[in-house]
Amino acid sequence: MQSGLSCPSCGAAVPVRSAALPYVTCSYCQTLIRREGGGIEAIGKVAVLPFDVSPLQLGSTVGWRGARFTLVGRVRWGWEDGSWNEWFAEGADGVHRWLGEAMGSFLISEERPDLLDLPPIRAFAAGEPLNPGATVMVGESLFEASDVKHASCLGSEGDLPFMTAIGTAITSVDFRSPDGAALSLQREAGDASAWLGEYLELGQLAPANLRAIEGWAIPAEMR
Amino acid sequence: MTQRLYLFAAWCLLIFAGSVAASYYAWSPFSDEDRGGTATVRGPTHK
Amino acid sequence: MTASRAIECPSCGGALAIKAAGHSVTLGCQYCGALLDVAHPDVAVISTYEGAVRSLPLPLGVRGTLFETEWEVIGALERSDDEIGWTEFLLFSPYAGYRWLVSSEGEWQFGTMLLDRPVNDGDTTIWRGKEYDLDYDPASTTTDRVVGEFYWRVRAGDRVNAATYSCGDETLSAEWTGDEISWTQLIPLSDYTIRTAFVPPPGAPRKTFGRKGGPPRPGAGAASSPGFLSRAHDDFMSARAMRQDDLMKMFLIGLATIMASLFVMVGFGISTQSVENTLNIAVDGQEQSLTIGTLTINRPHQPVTISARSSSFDNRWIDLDYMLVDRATQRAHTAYGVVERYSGTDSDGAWTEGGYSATVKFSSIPRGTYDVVVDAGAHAWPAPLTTSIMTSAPPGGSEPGPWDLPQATSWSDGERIELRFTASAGGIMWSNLWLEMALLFGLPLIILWWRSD
Repeated sequence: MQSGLSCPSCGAAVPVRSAALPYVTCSYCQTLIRREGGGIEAIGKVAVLPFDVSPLQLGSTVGWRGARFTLVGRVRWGWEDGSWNEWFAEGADGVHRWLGEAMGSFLISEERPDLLDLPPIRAFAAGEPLNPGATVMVGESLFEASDVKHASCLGSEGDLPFMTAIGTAITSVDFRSPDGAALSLQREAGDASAWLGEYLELGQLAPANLRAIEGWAIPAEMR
Repeated sequence: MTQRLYLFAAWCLLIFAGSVAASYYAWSPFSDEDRGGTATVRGPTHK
Repeated sequence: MTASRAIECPSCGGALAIKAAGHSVTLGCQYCGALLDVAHPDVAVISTYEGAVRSLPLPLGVRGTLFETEWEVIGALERSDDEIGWTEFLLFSPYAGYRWLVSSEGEWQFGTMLLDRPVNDGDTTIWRGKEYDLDYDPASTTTDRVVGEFYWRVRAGDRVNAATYSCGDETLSAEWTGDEISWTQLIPLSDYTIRTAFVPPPGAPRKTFGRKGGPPRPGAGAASSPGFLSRAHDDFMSARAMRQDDLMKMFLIGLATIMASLFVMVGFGISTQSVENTLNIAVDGQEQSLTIGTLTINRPHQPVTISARSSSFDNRWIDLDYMLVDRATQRAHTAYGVVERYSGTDSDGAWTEGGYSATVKFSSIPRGTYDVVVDAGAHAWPAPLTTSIMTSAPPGGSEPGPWDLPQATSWSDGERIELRFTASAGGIMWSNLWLEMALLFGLPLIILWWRSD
């Protein structure tokens, strides 16, 4: 169900892609708007995200494990040696996924709060450090931590389930398994979350409505 | 197996064939014989 | 206008365009070589480059289609280890991500980073059901030059450990520092593929890419190539893509050939008959002749080996003229040998030369019966006490006359030396083997030497 609202700051028409999400960004004046109950409120400004050549845009759709998702929001994280996008992917019935995009490859995952009980992850959630090479068994697969990043939020756009203020600091750990499965942990202040999914190339996500980038042709199978 | 490896193997085979022939004919370029087949009863050959 | 983030190099002011905007964090300026931090909105200089900026086999910014995808060359790394150097090109396509092109000694490989980790088992690695074998012990690889943009922090001087595993033509390359390992799959691409895939930017002179050396030839098509002979020479000398080495195989083939030749030589050389005799010869006496025995050569050809062993002596030499007299024709094969031994002292101390035996070999003696005869003459070698000839004044005069020999301590009088001769039909011509080794191993050694430059 699509509806629109008027930006309380500049008055522009702001499309709302997801009725369920409380936070919306006005793309004209960068105002972050919160929708609560029947009212809307301007919270603050979000940064204009720098230009990047991501093939994804708000409104692109991807498929994973039989379900189809629409990218409705994006958060960009930066660390000392780079930055990456996290796309909020909303599916039918309010199911959602996160699609991480870094260095040309993609990590799609669903939240798995149950994994927080695994001892190494529980220790991480409690504030213990994790180093590259650390391992954890999830089911039958052995995951090995490939990198640990201390990142901060650079900005966001679109509709999001929560507000991430610019400068919010997180510790993000990515694990890989021999069959391409991915485990991602995030810890912000005292709060941790665990995500399980897999690493894929863009083509494997059956994307649609990709962003047109000047000078590049969208491959036929992705149109 | 690169092309030059094949060439080298062919070269080795050639040399080996030569070696077998040399062994069969008991030939060597390094023998201590004095050249010349006709009999010469030779005096002391001083260095 | 291609989508990119335009920046100005803070070091030289050159106009640069970041193609993989949002991903690239490091950029080596292609004009001045400075290393820039482009991870944040403000561009900072990490380090400057003092040397001359050399050109690359593939220029930055050039586009090419490989495997039905269009790529742009956005970065190049010149890297090396103990043995060779090579160039790695970073290819980017917004919809396909990153790939690599590796150029090593004229050979190209297409690289893809692995998302699923191979499983390591000692010298073997298993990935997607295939087994890959370790090519060489892990070696330290250094990045020597950074040009263009990259998605991680890379700088000249970076050192990693690297090893490659191969299964046929396919290679898995592993690089690690500490605990972080990254894997790349490499498959070979022909030089022709590269040259026809990468089209020069519009307006640039048509150039042959992919070959070091060879200046741009105006008007030459993309498919033109350097002369056949020079290319054949380059191909021969370089022969293999990064890391896979057939040089070891060459040495092994050479070794196998030598072993086979040795086997054959021993087979043909085994002595079929042997005769012995002894001669007692007076030093500085008359030359003596001895018939050692009779040898029958039953094969079309056989070598004959005659060895002479003597009782001990010092400062004497015995010259030996051997003859193999063919009984049927009375023609003789001749050879010369000498048994000699000397000793003395000089400023460096005591020295000895020679020994108590000598062996001669006749080659290619044809079928027949031969009398083996030796003419032997033993001579004393005057040995002065010191190296100086004039060590003592000759008696009875101040000037030595022509017949005044230096003080000799070694005049013989009736001294005799015993010589034992063994003549056998057969023998191994070792010098043939050395010649063969030089011919066989010479080639890989030349390649090794050429490569070490």
